[in-house]
Amino acid sequence: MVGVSAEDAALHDVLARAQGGDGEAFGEFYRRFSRRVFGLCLHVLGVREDAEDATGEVFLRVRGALSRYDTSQPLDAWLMRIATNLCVDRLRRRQREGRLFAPGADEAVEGQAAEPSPLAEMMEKEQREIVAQAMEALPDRYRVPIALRYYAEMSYDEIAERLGQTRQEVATSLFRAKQRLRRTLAPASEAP
Amino acid sequence: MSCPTEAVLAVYADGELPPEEARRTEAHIAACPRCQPLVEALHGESRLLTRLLDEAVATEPAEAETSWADRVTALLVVVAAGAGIQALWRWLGTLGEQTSVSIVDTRSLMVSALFEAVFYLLREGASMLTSFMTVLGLFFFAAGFVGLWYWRRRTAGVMVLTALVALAASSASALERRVVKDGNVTIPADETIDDSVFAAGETVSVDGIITGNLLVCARRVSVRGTVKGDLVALGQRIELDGKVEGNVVTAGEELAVRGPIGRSLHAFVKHAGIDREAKIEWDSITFAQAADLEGQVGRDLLVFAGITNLRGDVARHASAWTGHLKVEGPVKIGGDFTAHTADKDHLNVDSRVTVVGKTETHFESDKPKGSGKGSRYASPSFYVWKTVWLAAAFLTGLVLSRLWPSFFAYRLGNTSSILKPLGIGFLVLVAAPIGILLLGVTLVGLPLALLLLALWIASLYLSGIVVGGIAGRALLERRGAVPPPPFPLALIVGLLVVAVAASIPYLGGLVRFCVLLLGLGIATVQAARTWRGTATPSVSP
Repeated sequence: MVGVSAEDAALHDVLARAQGGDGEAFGEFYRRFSRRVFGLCLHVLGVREDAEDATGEVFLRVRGALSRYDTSQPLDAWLMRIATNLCVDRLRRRQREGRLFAPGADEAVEGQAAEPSPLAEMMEKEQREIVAQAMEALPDRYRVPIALRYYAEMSYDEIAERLGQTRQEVATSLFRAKQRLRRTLAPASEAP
Repeated sequence: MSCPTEAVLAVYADGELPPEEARRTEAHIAACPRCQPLVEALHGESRLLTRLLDEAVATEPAEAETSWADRVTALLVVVAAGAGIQALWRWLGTLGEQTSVSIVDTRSLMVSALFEAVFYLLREGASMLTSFMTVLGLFFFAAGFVGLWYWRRRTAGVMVLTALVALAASSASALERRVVKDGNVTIPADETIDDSVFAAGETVSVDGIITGNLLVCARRVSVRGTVKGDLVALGQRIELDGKVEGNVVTAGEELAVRGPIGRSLHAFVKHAGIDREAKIEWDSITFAQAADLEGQVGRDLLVFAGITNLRGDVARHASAWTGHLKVEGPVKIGGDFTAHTADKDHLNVDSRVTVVGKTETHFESDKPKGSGKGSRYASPSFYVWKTVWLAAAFLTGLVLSRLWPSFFAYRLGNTSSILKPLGIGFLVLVAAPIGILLLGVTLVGLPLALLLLALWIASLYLSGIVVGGIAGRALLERRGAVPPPPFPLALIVGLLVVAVAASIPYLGGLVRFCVLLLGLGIATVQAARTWRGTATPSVSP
């Protein structure tokens, strides 16, 4: 077969066996994708312990749903969708009123940014740790769209659907979130 | 065409503008020297975000290297814990000589440990304690420092420190008028103070009248006058010859009551002496190594002590959990009389004693016993109680995991993940009661102190359950369960392991102690983490 690497073939094999109910194959599947799923849970939930817990639950769901998975779909997107649904549910439960993603007061105003310097320069220093902390410090309504867009690489439409928002609201949240990240990171990057 | 806003350009850079608008924007950018670099930077930013978010996952705590500071802290803590255990052990030995060992159960142990800490402060640190505010200041300073170190995030650290400073300042200013420190404090017989008084010093004597509450911390406390409110006294020797119209709460080494108390007496002391002239209108609750109770009690009497001598009347029920109980003279007990002692020989009740209600006696020796210490394993009740404990712990654990799942999210991995909570647990076990006591003697801190005390007591019980849940999961995961095992299964397995390990003869005590430390430590660590995780620090502009 042209275009299918040995790794893809191996994954295909693992997937097929896991779908057939092979526990060992599912273990392999878990090892391959747990980091990716954990990452989404971490960025969406913002708390490491919750993310670890949620990752476990995602794989429980995945195990149940694996037999129904259509192999023609991209696997990553499918996993990201399951993980997103679970994490967003958890966030909603965490904030009982369910108005989790309602736009905040400061979002109402739309306009030219006060400081138009994008993140790129200040993040060149590869301050992973600082970026991770800045992400954690973002309110849910900003952190979640960022995670879904830039980690799970979902489209605006898909994010809007998952969060029950309009496309415009997603765009605004993303814009505001990045502004906040810039502001949070600016003093850190100036330090020696 | 004027330049699109940055918000529009950001959507464009994400490739999410509607086709028509995207085409227009593209045409504009191609010709605009301002927008072009901005869009390029936005593209770069998106790519960078994707990469950094991916890399941020790689810094997993389990894989992160243990820092040197953590290792040194863990080492220090282990040394401190070892010294602490040794000291506790030696002290328990001396206690055993004076009391029947059977009453040295965890309950009285905890109370005694608390006393010992206070005694130590009073005895060894008497010179330091002459300025009580210094100690209080040091405590707040230490707490603030720990807060800063623990919540390294700046805003949170500053918040904690500010809160502590504010608390210290407010309690200090509230007390300012009546704070008397250093040396000997005397309120003379002809003086009436129309306020609550806080006094600290080497010796504090009250001969006059205080219309409010009296809070006192001194090596020697003597009240010969009148306190119209409550009396909270912390000291090595506390003598109450005068009159207290409210409640009396005391902690210290030696308590002598020779005057009337208008409400209840709560005493946590080594020796409690309630004389014939003393009359307690409400309840008398005493935790002591030795208690001589001669005064009258207007309601219930409750004693936990090594040796108890009861010679005064009790209007309602009298209950004693004690190694040795002697009831002498024409004592009248208006309600039920319940005595728990080591054996029949340790209970002496005079023939002149009259009990209106029921009389119940319980002897340690009555419990089925073979020869030697291991005999309790032969008794069915041992297993019944263990099962009851397991069931209760299981249910509590389930509830706890629903309410605060993060308590059980702790991972036992490398050595430092065990040593760190052990150390923190030891600090919490020892430092919390001291902090609570110090907080409790300030007017403002009292409600907070009571709340903390309740939390602390609850955490003593919950620690075993937390450890059970975590250990169970760790065990099952090690067995190779790939998706994490269901929590109830992990909990019951872990609780069984804890229960069995804690019942091993001789070693069980040490296991229980370690489990207690570990649980306290984990609960503290997780509570701090949760707090950090959910708190959203304000973003500085």
